[in-house]
Amino acid sequence: MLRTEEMMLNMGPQHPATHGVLKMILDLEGERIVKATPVLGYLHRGVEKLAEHGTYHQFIPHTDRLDYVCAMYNNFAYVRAVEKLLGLTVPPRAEYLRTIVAETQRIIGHLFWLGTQALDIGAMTVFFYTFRDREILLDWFDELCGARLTTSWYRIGGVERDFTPELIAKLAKFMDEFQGKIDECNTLLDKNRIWLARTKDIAVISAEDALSFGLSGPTLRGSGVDYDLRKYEPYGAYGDVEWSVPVGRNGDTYDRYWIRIEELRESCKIIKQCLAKLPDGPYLADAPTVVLPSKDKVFTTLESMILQFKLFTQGFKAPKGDIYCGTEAHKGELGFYIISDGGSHPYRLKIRAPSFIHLGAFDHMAKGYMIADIVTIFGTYDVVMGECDR
Amino acid sequence: MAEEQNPTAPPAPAAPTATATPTPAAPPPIYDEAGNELVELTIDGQLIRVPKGTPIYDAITGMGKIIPAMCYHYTFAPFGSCGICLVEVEGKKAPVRSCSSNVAPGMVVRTDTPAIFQARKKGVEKHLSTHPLDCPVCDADGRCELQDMSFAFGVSEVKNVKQKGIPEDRRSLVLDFNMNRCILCAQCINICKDVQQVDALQFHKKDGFTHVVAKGDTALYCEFCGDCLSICPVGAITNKFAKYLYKPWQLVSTATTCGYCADGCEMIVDAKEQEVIRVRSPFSWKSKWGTKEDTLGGHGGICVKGRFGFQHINSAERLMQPLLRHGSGWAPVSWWEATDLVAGRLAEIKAQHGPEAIAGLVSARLTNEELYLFQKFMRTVIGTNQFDGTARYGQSNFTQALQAALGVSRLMNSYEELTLANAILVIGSDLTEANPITALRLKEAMRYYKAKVIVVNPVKTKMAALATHHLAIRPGSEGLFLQGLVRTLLTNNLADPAVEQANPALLETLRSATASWTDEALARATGIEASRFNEIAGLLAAGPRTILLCGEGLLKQPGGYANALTLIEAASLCGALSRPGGGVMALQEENNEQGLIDFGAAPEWLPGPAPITDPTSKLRASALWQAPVPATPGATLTQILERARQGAIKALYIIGENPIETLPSSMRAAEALERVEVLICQEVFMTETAKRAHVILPACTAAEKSGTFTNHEGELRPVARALEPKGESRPDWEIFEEIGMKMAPEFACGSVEELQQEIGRLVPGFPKAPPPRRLEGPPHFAAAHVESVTRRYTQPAVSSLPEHALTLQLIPILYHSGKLSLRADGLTTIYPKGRLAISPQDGERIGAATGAVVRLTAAEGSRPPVNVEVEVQPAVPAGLCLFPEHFNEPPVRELASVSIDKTTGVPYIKRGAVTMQLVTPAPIAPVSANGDGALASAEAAASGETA
Repeated sequence: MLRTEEMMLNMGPQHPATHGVLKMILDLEGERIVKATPVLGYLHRGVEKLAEHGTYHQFIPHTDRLDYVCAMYNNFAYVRAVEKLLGLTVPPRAEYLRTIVAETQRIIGHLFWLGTQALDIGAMTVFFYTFRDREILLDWFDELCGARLTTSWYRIGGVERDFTPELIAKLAKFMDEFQGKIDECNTLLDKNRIWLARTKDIAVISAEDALSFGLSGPTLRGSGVDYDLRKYEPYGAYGDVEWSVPVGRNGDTYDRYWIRIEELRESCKIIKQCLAKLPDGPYLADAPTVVLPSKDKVFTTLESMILQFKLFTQGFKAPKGDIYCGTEAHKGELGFYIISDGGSHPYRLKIRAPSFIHLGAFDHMAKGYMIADIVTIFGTYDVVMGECDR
Repeated sequence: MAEEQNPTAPPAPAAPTATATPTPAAPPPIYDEAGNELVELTIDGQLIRVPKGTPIYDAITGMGKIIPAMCYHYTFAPFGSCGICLVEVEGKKAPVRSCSSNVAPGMVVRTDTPAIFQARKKGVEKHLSTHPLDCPVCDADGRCELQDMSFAFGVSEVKNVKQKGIPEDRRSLVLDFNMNRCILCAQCINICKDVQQVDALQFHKKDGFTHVVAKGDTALYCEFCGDCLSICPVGAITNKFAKYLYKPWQLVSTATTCGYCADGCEMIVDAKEQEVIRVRSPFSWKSKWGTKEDTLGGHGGICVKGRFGFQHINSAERLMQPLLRHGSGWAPVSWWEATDLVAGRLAEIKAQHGPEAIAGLVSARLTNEELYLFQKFMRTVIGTNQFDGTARYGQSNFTQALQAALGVSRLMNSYEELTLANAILVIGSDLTEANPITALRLKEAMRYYKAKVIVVNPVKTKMAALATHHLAIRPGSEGLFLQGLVRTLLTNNLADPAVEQANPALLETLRSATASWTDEALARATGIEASRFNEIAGLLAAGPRTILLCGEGLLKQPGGYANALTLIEAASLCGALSRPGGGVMALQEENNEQGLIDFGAAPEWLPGPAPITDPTSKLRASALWQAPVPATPGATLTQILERARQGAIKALYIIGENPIETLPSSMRAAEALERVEVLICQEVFMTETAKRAHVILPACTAAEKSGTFTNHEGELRPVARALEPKGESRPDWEIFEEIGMKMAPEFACGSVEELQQEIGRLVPGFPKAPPPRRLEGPPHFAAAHVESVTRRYTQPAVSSLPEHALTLQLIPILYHSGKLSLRADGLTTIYPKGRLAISPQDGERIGAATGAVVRLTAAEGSRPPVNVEVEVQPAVPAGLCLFPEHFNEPPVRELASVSIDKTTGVPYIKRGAVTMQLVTPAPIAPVSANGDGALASAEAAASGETA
């Protein structure tokens, strides 16, 4: 008789499929996973602590580096939180611009996920198609704000700069063509036997479990919970446009995949409507003691120079109190909790990162599956460790 | 990050009382307990009562509210130029400037309405509209009230922008005036006029704009206290030495105590890494809220030395590592090697020749902790009392006189007491020069509290010009003047009865000693008529808060000890010592002379201070140190040098003291130092004394160490480390500790804090509370003192000089302190070289105008004559000439006659008699103030630029 015992396998932190640096300790019984323990912290940079030592404006670039695949949405979530703390209203045009860019970012995020998840599972072609389209949008970002990934385009009180007519035209053209491109990618997968075999009934989680683990975004909606902050706590221009929330049934990897594909189509709808309805007006709120003055005035008028100087060296003082503001990023609910002691920097800033919360359910969702599924399970959350470890 | 805005809330000035009941339409006058009429008015819905005549602004700040204002500072009267402190007064259409309108009964004031916000914002916009766009190059950037206001009101659009385009006024030596940035708040003018009482600045219309200029639109040459720089809310007045270097948030600020004089002012050292960039005062436009009472102890300013005299800290000439004499040169060695050698040689000499073959000299620029550790090292590790400190140059006269007369070692008054005194006698001190911040207390006492200040000085000093009474006595007759004062107090029956009751013998002796004196003889000898004596004696006796102040002009001049005794007698007789708020005090020129005595760094004192003859104190010290206090009497500075010359002293340990450059060469200090086998010098710079050393140990400056200094008030002032020690230099206490430990391991003290705890066991309360500085009850004079009276009170006689001889006095000047300040570029820029001040009469007699060179010859003895440039000063009386003691070139100090006090061993080296001949007449071009062309060249540079 052969002696059998559980085997402990160390996976990562240096592994191409860990989307950053994550280590997993897997307890295996043969090829079956008994226990999966994620070990976090390899990408910890103390971002929350850094926030305590800078002004509110100075933290915006730090948010780029949370989920570095989707900087725009992080910017958005953060400035929304600060605006809520200050009670600052953003002009309508800024709300539309923000929504358009946020949905563009969602498309980029989902394309990125689709490409890498397929690659992880073994379907390489999809990666090339999704990255082709992602590149177009990243170049569009580059034209918008001068950076592809570390964008910092959102500002407390609005956005850094307005769209040019060329940008609008380019985006509209992309959206016209994009529906077909989604189908193009999808054709490679939705009838692909390997893809189906590797995603259907893998990493299933029930609606109750998903809720009690605090999952959000496509990971939660895959289990049939109709919950999307954009719909039910509308912000930006989401309340002004027609769109729907795709909801899954089985709570498996395939449903989450399906939701993300559908969300690509919904985003496309949102952007098209917003572009059509884009109102005129300022793209920054009229609050000189909070909002950075425009650069062209800084070097020509004294008052703007003083405002610029004061805002950058001392910052504005936020009212005393604490607020939480959640935003529906493409991975799930990205929340910022800020405590202000009335000073010019946050007294404490806590980030509710969906990637971190999702990894809490990792063991629960991986248990009982084969070791070959581990990469699928891990990828199904769309984890980015930069956000998870912060 | 730039600093926070203004302090949270101003303290309540008049303590307005809130009442709940509303007043009837025609209110009857209300009075407070003191009988002042009160006015009842409503501010923001709150009913308050304030004294009649209060500005609305003060009434509001008294409630704890802050309303913005840019031209307001509590140290002077409201000026009303900025137009920001607007409030709404019911019944008035336009907003009212609250600082310049007074409260009225039934007034209803609102301070916080949207309309008022807009009106104030308009005011700020008005200032911005003429302000240049140069924040990025402005020194005030980040410390600018206009920026703060602009941000607070969220000014985002200014219309009708107009630039002034005025060229910068760079004529002054240390300050630049950029009138484009000026908001015409006049705070600089007001602080100079009301607080400094120098009045050097004025408004001046030129080219269609109002400028701030030095009086008469010339190059500013004033006391350079820099308060105008501190109070400037924008960057209109800038510091030449820190200009364009750094932004405020790049600098690390440390609050510490100035190390120049014993005023002990708090100063803020702004450093960038290892370099001091500038020094600021706690007083600034940010310290704007307060009441007149808050300045009783000082307004937080510093003087020219503190503000502009820091460059010696950064000097490249600093000693950076231990040096060992190597033939004719120096070899750098490690600390380990140097201290090993010092400890080894000291131990060897002690073993061979006994502890009395070793002596030490220490400077009063060290901290209290270091001075304590030094005397402990000498007394326990070496086992000798043979060491002395620089208090020997004068302060010892005062403390020993107190000890001999009254049995106390410290009598001091706080700055509050000085401000609130009714009568202050200043003798032998030129306060505004030697102790400028203490001088401000007297100025405030005179102007705001109507004190009588009597300045006794042959020279009409700046203080004498402001004083209520100036007695221009004959040079050198200070002691006789004081004796005359004692006589007058007695003959006019003004002596304090409590003192008379406690000391009948003393008064009896004094009466009989002066019985045969005549008013005429006294008037001839002192130059003061009997009527003036009567008047002054009356003022001092009336008091009730009478303070007698003396300084180096009394204590460092021949007869200093006897004069100090007479001063104490005079103070006692006029009741200054038995009434609260009165007293007698000596002002010290070096920052820690009193600390040196308090912590025992003199042969006659133990820490406490306690006289070394006191058995209880001796027992206590030896119990703490676990070593006996040496029984030998020790030696004073001159005795140490004498013994060294005779070869009795084999090793001499000198810390920061520089006898070769301080004492005239006739005292043969160099000879003494060359005779010793081991000369150890612990110094910051390579001085003449250090050049003769065998081992040089590099010490660091006060900016690089922590501890405490003792100021005039007797208070302990904290010294904080603003920089790491430069090079390999170390704080003095660390060096003492290392050498001490190598000779006796138990000498280790660990840290400054542990050292302070140890001192606290000898001096209770240290470092929190200073030793007591007051008498309990009326003064009781010792019997031995009474006996000394007959020896001291001799018939007044006119001290006669040969014909046309002048009295030469070496004096401290405002712009320098000791020899240290000569290494500070800021101060040498202002005052680069010593010039002989002579009277117009003497100048005319020999035909010398300012700028002429004269030859000085000692009236007696054969010393080589000295050529020196003169400066004719109307304040100087005929027959007197003055030379700053800080300058050894030209060697005027060599002409002073030398005598040594028999009781205290104080060397008197500051006075002599000289004759004067013209060598070169003055150049044709007039040279103003401290000429030497510095001003002329600055003016040329300024005019060259505009051309």
